[in-house]
Amino acid sequence: MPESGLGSRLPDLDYGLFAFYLVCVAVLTFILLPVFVVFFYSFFGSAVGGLSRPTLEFYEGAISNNLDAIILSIQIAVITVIVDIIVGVPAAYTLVRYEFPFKRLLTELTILPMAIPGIVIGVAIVRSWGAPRFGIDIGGTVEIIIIGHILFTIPFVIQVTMATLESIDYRRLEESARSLGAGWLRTFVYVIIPNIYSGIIAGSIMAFALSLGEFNISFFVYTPQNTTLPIALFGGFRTATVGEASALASIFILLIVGLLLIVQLISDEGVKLGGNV
Amino acid sequence: MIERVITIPEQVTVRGKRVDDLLPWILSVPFALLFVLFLGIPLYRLFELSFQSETFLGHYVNIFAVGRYRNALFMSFAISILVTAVSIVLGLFMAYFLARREFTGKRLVVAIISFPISFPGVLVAWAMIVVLGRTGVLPQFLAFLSGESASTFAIVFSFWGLVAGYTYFTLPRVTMSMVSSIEKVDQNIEEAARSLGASRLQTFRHVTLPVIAPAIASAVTLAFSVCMAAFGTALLIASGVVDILPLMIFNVIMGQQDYAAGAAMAVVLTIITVSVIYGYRRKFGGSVYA
Repeated sequence: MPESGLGSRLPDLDYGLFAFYLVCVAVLTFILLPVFVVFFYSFFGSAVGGLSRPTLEFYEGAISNNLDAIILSIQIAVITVIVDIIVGVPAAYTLVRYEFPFKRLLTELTILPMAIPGIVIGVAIVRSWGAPRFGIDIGGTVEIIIIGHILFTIPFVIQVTMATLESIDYRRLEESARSLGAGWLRTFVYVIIPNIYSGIIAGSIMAFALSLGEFNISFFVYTPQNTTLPIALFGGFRTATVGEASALASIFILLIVGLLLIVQLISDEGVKLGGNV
Repeated sequence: MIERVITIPEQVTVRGKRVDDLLPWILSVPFALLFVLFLGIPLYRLFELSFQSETFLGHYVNIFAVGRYRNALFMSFAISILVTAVSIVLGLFMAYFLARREFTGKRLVVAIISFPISFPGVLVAWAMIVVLGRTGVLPQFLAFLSGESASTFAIVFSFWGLVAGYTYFTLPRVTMSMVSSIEKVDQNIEEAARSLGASRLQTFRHVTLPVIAPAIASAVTLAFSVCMAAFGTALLIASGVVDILPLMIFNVIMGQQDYAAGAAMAVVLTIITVSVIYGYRRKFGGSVYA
């Protein structure tokens, strides 16, 4: 649309366009302001009663009180992503590549954990697996948190992998590889995977970020010994000082922003999805 | 020319079937196990549990018969519908802006809008508290201007705080899900409409809107289901202040230890979100999440 700058023709100022930009600026402010304030409070503490000098003591406090949670969350996220890839990528491949009864239904079922509220999954898992069953005793362990996170994140890895597979001509690639004598596994590992790995990486980083931030399921299955970062955030927001809670929140925001910048770099698609909050 | 010798491996077979053909299935077994053991069985047990009451469907009847429970359900609907409406309108503005305008730093703006998508709900709640809470910047600023106490302006622990928080995580999702479909709208047709005398609003209403309607429907589905399911934000902002269904489930299960009643509410909540999302897929064919 041929629209010139606002200032250049003030006489017939386009009110519609002006309102349009006003809304856009308001939305950006709404999204950015809270983040700025969180960062600000993390250095200055609460603004109530005049400003003090900026300090890093809130960060020191936040890190020393929550180091275990930060480390545990990163460990859980790493394991979650590894399992997501090992379990999810072959399943996505099978769903795209092969024809079988109920294929559509099964494909739709893979997004079920995104459609079911996290609190419901959390309650259901703790109710079924909180006590030993079938000789499996995972109640109150880190494993049950990891399983929850895998359930929560694996649909994203599967969706991205399926979309990437459909975007490449995998049948041709496969036929070539097979006709040259490569078996299924070799074809899969050396031909298919290299062609879809940027999608898998983008999906994995997304899964990593989602696992770091997962609260609803973890909240029902964690024990005080296995506190993850979002649980620590929740506790900090209720008990710690404004400065320390903001410092912890800032650490989390920086982690997430860093990860998502990487996704933006390697994938044009960027981030469109999000899990339950 | 170097001649390569290609050795074709012998086909390994099990009961007449080539292992190669079975491998994908074998590799999908862990996935199936994961879903059956940790999603299927737990959900089934929750479903079963929800029927354990003295009277037939007692817990389900109670959701509608007991005032507090019914109000929580209605409140969930009210907040979700309000937030969805606000997010769609504002999101359309933003999506239009992003799809149509080329400017330096556009990638940065896209990044700014999309990074709250990965924030956990508790973090969004804190973000709202530092802006709208008693020690938050806006109430402090307004108190400074008016001379009244900051508490007068602190609206975060209320219905409106919840609306603000929900909008904070819904708006980016909605915006990003609509951008690509607006990019696909043929601008020549829009310009033709404009040159034939249609106003900007008329052009949008009669030319653009029909094309992006499915994307809007998808965004509505996404926003509504995410709002219905949201728990973390509400737990920090509205626990004990505003009753919504997820908080009620939490209270009934953790507070009153009444798993069966909580299970019935969980089933109702699940039916709402799942049917909204799969209903969209059935009607429009695409995925809400892609």
